[in-house]
Amino acid sequence: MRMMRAPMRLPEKVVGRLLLMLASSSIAALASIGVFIVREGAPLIHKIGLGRFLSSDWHPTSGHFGIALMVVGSAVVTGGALVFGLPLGLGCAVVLGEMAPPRARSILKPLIEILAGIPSVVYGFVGIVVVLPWIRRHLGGPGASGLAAAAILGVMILPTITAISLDALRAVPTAYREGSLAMGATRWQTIRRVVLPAARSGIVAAVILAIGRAVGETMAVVMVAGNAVLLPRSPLDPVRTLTANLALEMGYATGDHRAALFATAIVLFVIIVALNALAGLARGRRRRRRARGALGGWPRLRLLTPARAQALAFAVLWSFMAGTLAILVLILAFVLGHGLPHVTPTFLLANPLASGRAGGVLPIVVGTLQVTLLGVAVATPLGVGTAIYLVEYTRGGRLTRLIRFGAECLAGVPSIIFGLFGFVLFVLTLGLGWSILAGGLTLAFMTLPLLIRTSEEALRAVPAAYREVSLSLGASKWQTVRKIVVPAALPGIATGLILGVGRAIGETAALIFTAGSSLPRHVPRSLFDGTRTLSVHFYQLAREGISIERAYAAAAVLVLAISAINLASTLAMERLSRRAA
Amino acid sequence: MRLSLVAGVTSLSLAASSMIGCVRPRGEILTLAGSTSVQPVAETWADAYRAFHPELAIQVQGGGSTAGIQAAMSGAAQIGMSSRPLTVEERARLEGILVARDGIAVVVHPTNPVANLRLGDVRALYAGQVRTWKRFAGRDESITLVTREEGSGTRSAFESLAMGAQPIAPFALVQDSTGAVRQMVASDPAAIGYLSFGLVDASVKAIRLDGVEAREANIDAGTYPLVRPFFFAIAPGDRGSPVVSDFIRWVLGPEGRSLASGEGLLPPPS
Repeated sequence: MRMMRAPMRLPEKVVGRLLLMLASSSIAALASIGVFIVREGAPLIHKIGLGRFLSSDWHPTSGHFGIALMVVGSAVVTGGALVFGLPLGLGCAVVLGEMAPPRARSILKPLIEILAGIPSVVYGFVGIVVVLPWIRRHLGGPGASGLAAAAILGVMILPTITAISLDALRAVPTAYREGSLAMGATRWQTIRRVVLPAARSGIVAAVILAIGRAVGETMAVVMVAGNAVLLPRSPLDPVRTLTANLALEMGYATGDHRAALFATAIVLFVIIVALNALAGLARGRRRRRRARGALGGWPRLRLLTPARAQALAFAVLWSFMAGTLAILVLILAFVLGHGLPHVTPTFLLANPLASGRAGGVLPIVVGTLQVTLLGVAVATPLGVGTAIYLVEYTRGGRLTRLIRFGAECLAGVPSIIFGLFGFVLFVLTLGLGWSILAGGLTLAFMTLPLLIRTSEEALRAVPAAYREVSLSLGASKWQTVRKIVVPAALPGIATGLILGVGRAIGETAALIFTAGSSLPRHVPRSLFDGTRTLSVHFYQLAREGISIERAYAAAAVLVLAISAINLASTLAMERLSRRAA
Repeated sequence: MRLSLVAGVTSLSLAASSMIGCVRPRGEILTLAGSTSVQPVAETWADAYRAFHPELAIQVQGGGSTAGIQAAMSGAAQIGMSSRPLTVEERARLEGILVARDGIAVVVHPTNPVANLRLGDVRALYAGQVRTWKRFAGRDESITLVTREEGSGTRSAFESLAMGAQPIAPFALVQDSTGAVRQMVASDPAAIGYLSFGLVDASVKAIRLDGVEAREANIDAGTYPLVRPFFFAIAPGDRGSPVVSDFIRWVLGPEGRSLASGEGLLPPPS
């Protein structure tokens, strides 16, 4: 990279072309997955007819492929996850962005980001061991239920909501707050009436990405939802979501059954599209209503003095933050408490033996880092470049909407589909075999939508004045982007990166099919070696019941590694932004 | 942010595209892929076999029976591992070799007083006709049924051997792996599930069926009914390869058989 250092002044046209190339590669990548899914799944819908596909009769081994009950299951679980995750996530964002002193923020923010890095299989396992028995004992029912899935998913989507909303809040110009406070509004009134409305677009993006994550999540849900194909009559009944269905049955499915599972993925597309349309509508209506409110408004009943309201609101928000931290501490204490006693120097430095019952995890740790780094290294330039092109080089036209649309659709596609796509494309067709290369490229596909969306949001949040001033001083467009816009958007882009790394490290389903799950005998020697990542290792050990102690030990290493990465990136970001200032 | 974005981008995409262009280097590699139930015993076989053939790199990949069979058909793996019988279309292109059998134990929570059930009782229970343990002189608790997903080798063996024509009740909880089934049963005093012999440990209790204990010897004697096959699926082209045929001969030989027993499996009938 250093050798190819670009000349100080790149011709504008070249830059524009390059960015267009990146954007179109992203579109091609997103489109190819779409084509893959439609090609595998659409013929079945055509064959059995839409009516029967949307019926409630799912008995794949006897040829009945109706998915209605699972659509209900997904809706219930996702809605429930929002009930838990949205208030907590948004509450944390407001606390971090508007209320906490800077010192507290710099400690609290990375802590919440750790939640994003905990692999979904670990969430699922903690769910089976802790949450299900608790529900069974205190609330009744079999424990495995829609409620359990919603609660765990709620915690899983919380960091996404917090991170992206926080960036949106930070992007609100300080002048708005100062103006409001100067007019005598309380801090809470300022937050509620000025800051939150101004950050609405970013918050909506956060919620949509979180819904995508919730709809597309598989492993944790499979473990705790009970997966019975039933119409749930209470939150304590088991449910099966669309993605759980995919993950449950893909391993053995053949022929029409397999096609039906792919058709399920098409339905997920449609659901996400519908959600986006709804979100757009809601945004439009809100704006109209606000306009009317400004003209006349209706008399408001005032039960609390502004000062009391503020005290109450702040107490509630801080308690949300405290609750979130308590959840984090519980999970960490559980995983580390069970795992750390088994983390010995041998465990860290030896090769695994006897299916992982003995020996260590060194090659697995190295392989995990390689796969993750490769994935992020490929996805970052593509994602950030695409976002720059969209925000700086187009006028929010059709292309932007198309890419945004594609990215949001893909955010809800379960990772197992990416895994099968990577399996067919990289492992079988390109002949890469199960390898770090195949795994990393698949991860790049998976994290691309997230990176595009978060970078786009971050770039959009840079005030137009920055660009105008730079351009008026005679800087070229690319100079403005490179020296002014991108540095200003860096914290937001970094947030996307951290979320992306977290997703990549915690991924299992996609990697089992691409990087492989063969137990490595030695540290990988080339990108063509297969590897088992730590999350996959944990999953194999726990799922096949090979060794629970070692599974906990692997989870402990994983959680520590993720915490270390978060800490390091936070420190790096702080230094970067200080230098920029 | 001094580092030029463009330079990074181009070099990375160049690197990526040149890497894709390469062909995977092939030494002496034996790749097995497929069923996660077969994976642990295959790892054990691979470990022991490597002692005789240190030059051979053996990979044992998971992904499920179908992915393994797909990989064997495409040549990405020489051996597909399957814990379900091959379909008609698959048999036209691959040969299935029985390498082990896996006994299926019906398990309950260790504190459950019920220790014996008739096969007919298990059927009634899983069909949802009996909803409480009281019927079997157990505690007055409603039963939590735990089953595997449709298509799973364990489930299809359980259905054909224990359920007859009766479907499993729709309200049964579904888990997609042996370990998860064991975890569910271990954490719920009212649960019942079924899983491989090799996975039965102190956290769950295997019950006797018609008075017969869930043990290997009873399967060979023909008195214990629940057992499923593990297959290696091989393309005709690979059958002739010395690496593959030698490995399979060894797996089916005395050493392979005794290692299978060590994993709680039954070797194929000799």
